Amino acid sequence: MFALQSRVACALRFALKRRSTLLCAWFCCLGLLLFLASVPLSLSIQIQFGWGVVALLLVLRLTGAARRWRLFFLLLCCQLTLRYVYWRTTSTLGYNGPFDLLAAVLLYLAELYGIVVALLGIFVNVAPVRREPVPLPADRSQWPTVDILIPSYNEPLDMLDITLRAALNIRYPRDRFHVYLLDDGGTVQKRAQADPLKAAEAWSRHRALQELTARLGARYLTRERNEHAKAGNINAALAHVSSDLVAILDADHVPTVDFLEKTTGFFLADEKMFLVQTPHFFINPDPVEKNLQMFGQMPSESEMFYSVIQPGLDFWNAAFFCGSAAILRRRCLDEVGGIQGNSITEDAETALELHARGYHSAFLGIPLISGLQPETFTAFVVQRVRWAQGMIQIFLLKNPLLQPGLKIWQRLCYFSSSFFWFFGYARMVFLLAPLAYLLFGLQIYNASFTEVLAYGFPHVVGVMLMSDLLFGEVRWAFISELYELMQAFFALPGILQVLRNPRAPTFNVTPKGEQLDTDFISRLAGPFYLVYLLVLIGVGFAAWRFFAYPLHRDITLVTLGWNLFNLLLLNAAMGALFERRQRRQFPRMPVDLDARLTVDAPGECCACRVDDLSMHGALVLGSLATPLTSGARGRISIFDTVSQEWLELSVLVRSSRPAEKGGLAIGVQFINETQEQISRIALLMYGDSRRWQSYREERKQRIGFMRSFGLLILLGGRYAFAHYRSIAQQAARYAFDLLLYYSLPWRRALGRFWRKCCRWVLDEQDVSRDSVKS
Amino acid sequence: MKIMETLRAALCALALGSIVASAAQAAGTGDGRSGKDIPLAELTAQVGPLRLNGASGRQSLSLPLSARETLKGATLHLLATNSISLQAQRSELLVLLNDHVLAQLPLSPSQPEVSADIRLPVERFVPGYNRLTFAVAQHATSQCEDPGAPELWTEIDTLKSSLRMDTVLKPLTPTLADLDTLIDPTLWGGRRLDIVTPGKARIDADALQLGGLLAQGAALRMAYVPLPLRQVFARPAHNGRGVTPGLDLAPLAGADFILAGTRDQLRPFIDPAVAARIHGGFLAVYPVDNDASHFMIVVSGRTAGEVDAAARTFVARSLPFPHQAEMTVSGDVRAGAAADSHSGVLQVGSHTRFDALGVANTEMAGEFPPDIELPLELPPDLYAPETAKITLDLNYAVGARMRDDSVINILLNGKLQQAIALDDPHGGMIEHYLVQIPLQNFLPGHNVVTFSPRMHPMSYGSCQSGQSGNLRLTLFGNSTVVLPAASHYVRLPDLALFAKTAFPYAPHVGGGDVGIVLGGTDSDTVGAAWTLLGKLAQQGHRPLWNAYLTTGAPAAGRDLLFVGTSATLPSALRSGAPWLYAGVDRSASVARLDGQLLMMQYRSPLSSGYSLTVVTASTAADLWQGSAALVEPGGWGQLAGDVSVFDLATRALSTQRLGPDYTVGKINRFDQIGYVFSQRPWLFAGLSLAAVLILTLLTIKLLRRFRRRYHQDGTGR
Repeated sequence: MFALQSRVACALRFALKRRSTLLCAWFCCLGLLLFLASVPLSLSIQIQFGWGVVALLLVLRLTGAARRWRLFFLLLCCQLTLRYVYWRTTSTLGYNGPFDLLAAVLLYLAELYGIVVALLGIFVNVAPVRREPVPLPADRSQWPTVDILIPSYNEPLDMLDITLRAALNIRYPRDRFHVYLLDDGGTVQKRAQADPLKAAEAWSRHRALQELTARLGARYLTRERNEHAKAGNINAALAHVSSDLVAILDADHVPTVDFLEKTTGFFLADEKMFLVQTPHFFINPDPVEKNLQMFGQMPSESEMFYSVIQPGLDFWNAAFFCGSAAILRRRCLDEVGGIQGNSITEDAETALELHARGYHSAFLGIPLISGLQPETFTAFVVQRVRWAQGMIQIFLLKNPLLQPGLKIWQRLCYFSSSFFWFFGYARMVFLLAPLAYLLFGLQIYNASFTEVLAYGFPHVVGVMLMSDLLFGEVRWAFISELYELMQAFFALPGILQVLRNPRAPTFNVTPKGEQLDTDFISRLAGPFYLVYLLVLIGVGFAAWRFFAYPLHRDITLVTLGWNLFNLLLLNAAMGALFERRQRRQFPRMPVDLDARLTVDAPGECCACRVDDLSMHGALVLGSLATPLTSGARGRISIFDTVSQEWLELSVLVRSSRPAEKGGLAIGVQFINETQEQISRIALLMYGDSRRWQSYREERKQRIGFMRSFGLLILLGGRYAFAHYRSIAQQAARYAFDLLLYYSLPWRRALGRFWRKCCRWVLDEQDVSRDSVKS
Repeated sequence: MKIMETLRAALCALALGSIVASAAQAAGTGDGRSGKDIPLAELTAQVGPLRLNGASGRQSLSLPLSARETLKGATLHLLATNSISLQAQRSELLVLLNDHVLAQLPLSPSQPEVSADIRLPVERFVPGYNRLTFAVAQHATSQCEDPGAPELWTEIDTLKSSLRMDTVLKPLTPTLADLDTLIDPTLWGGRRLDIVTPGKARIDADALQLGGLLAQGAALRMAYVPLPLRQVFARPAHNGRGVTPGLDLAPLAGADFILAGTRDQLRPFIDPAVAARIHGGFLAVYPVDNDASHFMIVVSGRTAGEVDAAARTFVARSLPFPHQAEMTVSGDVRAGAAADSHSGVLQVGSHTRFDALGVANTEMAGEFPPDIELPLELPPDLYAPETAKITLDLNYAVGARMRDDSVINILLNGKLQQAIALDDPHGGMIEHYLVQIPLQNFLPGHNVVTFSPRMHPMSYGSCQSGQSGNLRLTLFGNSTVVLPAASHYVRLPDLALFAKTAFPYAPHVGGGDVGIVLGGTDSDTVGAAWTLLGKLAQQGHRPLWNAYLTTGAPAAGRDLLFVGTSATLPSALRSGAPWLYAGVDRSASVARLDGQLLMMQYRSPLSSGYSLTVVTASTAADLWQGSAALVEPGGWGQLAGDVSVFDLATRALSTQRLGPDYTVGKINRFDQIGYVFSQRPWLFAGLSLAAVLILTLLTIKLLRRFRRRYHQDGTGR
């Protein structure tokens, strides 16, 4: 922070030296604003001011002027926050005992974290850049050559098959790009490992991938040892490739056909351009979306980063490499020794190094790849903890505020990007802080209700409005809190591990493409149960405090409200922790394509539309005179909007039912596809970036605080119930098993008794029959 | 406890002062004998009846008795009502005088009205304040009684209950060491005090200044009790004997008086032998010739300077006075004067130990021990942001095995601020327990923080054996009170603040910046000025040593107090007056001050940062009468706003706020801005919005410049 201050001082001196009147005026005005933020006002005046500003913000928002007066709106929110920070720092910290002090300081630091992140968020997103692709020259010989690198470790072959086919389908002069599969699962080290089973598995993978790449026309690369994970894999491959540019795709990131067309032009336009990053667009839900069944109904979690933050960073020339869906200039990579490996987020670290050398980056906000998100909460946590640890490694090992070569705005951007990942700490503190008061009576916030009303609530409302303006379309209110809460339990230990030993974390590959056969409770649910129980107890304690301490009712009510909000978040988290089954390995995407369906058995042909599509089948809407039976065979021709050609495929009818809008909804499975046809299906399915863009746009919508809050309650209520029901069922099943187990001697005794009785009855009948006979 | 006693006594003395003043006024003279029935309500600050609650309720009143008086008889007429749930055989009301039981009255449920005439034995009275206590033993059952049960009560009707004190003044053989008992607020008899100066119809400047000092000396000895002062010109006579053979005593009959002037000025009036003993500053006290029950004080010297020194010696109460009737003042009395200038006002940012405030290590024992009272004298012009708090850093020891509902209640001026739970069964010594009270809860000037412990034993009632020896609490004198950082800055005019603390006149040590401008030199005007000056010294708890009294042109650079008839207000002082009245404004439409005294305060037109308070009436006689009446608690305590009009006939006071506000004092820029913005919230809001708007525009401009510089390729928008 000291370095930051000195940088600001330098900037001020620079402004004075350069006699930049505008900059001097800006600093003076900022100083005035800071000064006004610290002016002590009487409480009643502060209430009037704080709520007056909130009212103004609401008017601007309701009248739609907030977008036109975006910066004014944001700075007004800042003013509320700055007044709050000054008051919070100078008036609410006091010694009430060692534990009180500890809890108070932890809460204060968590709040400071939130405020710093919010203020940096304004800075980063003050003027996001919306870039258009730079057209390539007509002379194709001038187009840069590209090596497309697809690092792989343990991903299934089917997944790699599609990615390789799509990469080879890219619309670019075939002699100017090469596709490489970088296999880290079949390295010499893996194949020579002591465990014969694992070695055999590595050999099998090695041969299969060699065969696959040879069949498709790609190139296979592997290396001696698995060193430095993904970064090491790419760096090893760089020794074998020599094109102008390097495109990096994760194994599940399937590129569209225009991936290179739209990105390589930037490198021709700017010699200092080292990176063009594109969004990661996901065609499957993340576990939270899946388990809360919100996929497609709300913006994806990654949207905030790729729709707002990266364009914001791009304005400040600080858009950074996200590990995939990006193109880098080979020369620049060579200059810094390839992909960096000090941290486990090698991508951001590499971008930091190159920005520090004065190179430029660009973010093109068009989705040019489609990828898969982790299917399970466990995989999701593995991914996020790696990101958190990696960014905090950067914070510690290559602190952006101290990194030479960066401009001050780049420092702030990188600081914002890495500092954000301390959210695990803040979120846990916000979760437990009300309990410190409710359960233990710790005084963690020395303020009266009136003071909170004057300073605290306007600040909170201001931050919510600010967040809504910046991110409302791509991240609904309270959804961030839910995601952060769910990660915080595991991110915090990860953060602490990095703080103890910044070089300790190792790269964990995110599992992708998992299939879940049944519904089940995530094995990571344990800590949530504990905290949920504590929060519930906190509610009980709040009721007790309300009656036992009538003088503190206002504070008790505020804390109870906070605790109940945490309970709602935990409820929704409980719903998200109940994993829904996921049988389809290849996701089915909604499409709207012209098609012709011909069914062999009745010999009927009709024009229809493809409603959704996957690599192995489609849902077709059409009208046929005769009803179809499952198992019927036929052919379908689908118009490929990418290649503008008809694709003809053999199909097997799997289902047929009346469609909602009339006609039939016919499920068909593709059969007997040739390699060429599979590639065409991949092109049809994944090749059109406009489709991905329209999906993204459809999901963007602003729903407001109240609806968002209602949604949180609804999701918590609906899906947590399924979680509890599952617990109850499992408990009942367990109890039943116990009953069966412990009742076994009794049941046996009863059985023996029953058999005896039967035998006796039969004997008696025999005796009486004998007597009758006699 | 002491503070409360003193306050109670002071209130009692105030009441007594009112009673005696009215009695003397009715009689036209103070004859030294008083025999009026006084309702008990006038001896207590408590509004309503005295209520004795619980199994052992107790309430006390203070009965003043001056050392100058002989008590001939005292009778208490008592009317009380008790609960009809009490047990007759175990319930009783005790009347105690200085802790001696005088009477035991049974409290019977069948006869709940108690009426008794109790003769108070005169031999039990001591000079000063005597404690009259009503204590009850009340029981409603013989089994496991709740000592706080609501049916355990007795109520003393303080309006119908009365006290009759028959006193006569003693013949005096006074010495200077007796000065504090001679000018005594506890006197039941008349307390007329005149200041006699040489001259015929006009008082000279030296005498005016001298009288001001003497007025303050006398008033400070009267503590809270108002002291109307008259100025009397010495008239020659031929008594033929005594200390003042040449002084006409007829106008001074029934009064104590101070005779002040240089030796040469007094020579015609005093015994030549006395005059011969005046070799320097001369201070002496004698019985009045022909009336030994009254005294006269002679303040003299060979020169005006020596007279001034003698007068300052009289004012400086901290100086030791000899057990002699006369003394010659020699040397510098400024050291003593400086000691008297210290009024115990806490300084901003200071850490003050309790024992420095009169609360040494104090142990309290039992269930309902007496409260500990901590007097805090705050500067009257203290200003700090609302978040400022005064911290009490408490060190105390508490006994073990108390019931967990034991507490120390902490009250500020009688209102609960915080409670400390004494719920640790192991007891112990607690150090640095911090109690923070918002500064805004304190009053300007005098405040009292009360520590009121309530300690209960674990077991209670006749059904269980219990002991209360563990119910002990010691508050240590090394506890401290910490004042926050604050400024001396206040918004004026504020006659309420003026009345309570004498602000803005008292804060200046020595009153160097105070100028008192008299509209005339007649006795009434001068008497009114001296009376008001005495009152200011009382309210500020210290003399205004250098208050400058003048009948001439008012001086700039001072807070001014104008005392004079309405026509005599100098034109230089009229600018900015909040209220126009006949005399100041000659138009026919303005109000006239007929039988009224006007007090108004506004910014001094002579110098910024200073105030002017005008006390005026249409005639000099009204001015004196109004001033004398205004300093009584009924009038003085109700002053407020910037204009107050006191009606001499009805004794009613009307207050208004008419003029503009202004601020005085020093404040750091930062706090001043906060103060200004708190007064003008729209200014703050407007400035904030303007700053945000300008910053927005500048930021947009800078962002555009940044975009031009770093996004030249045009691929972004």
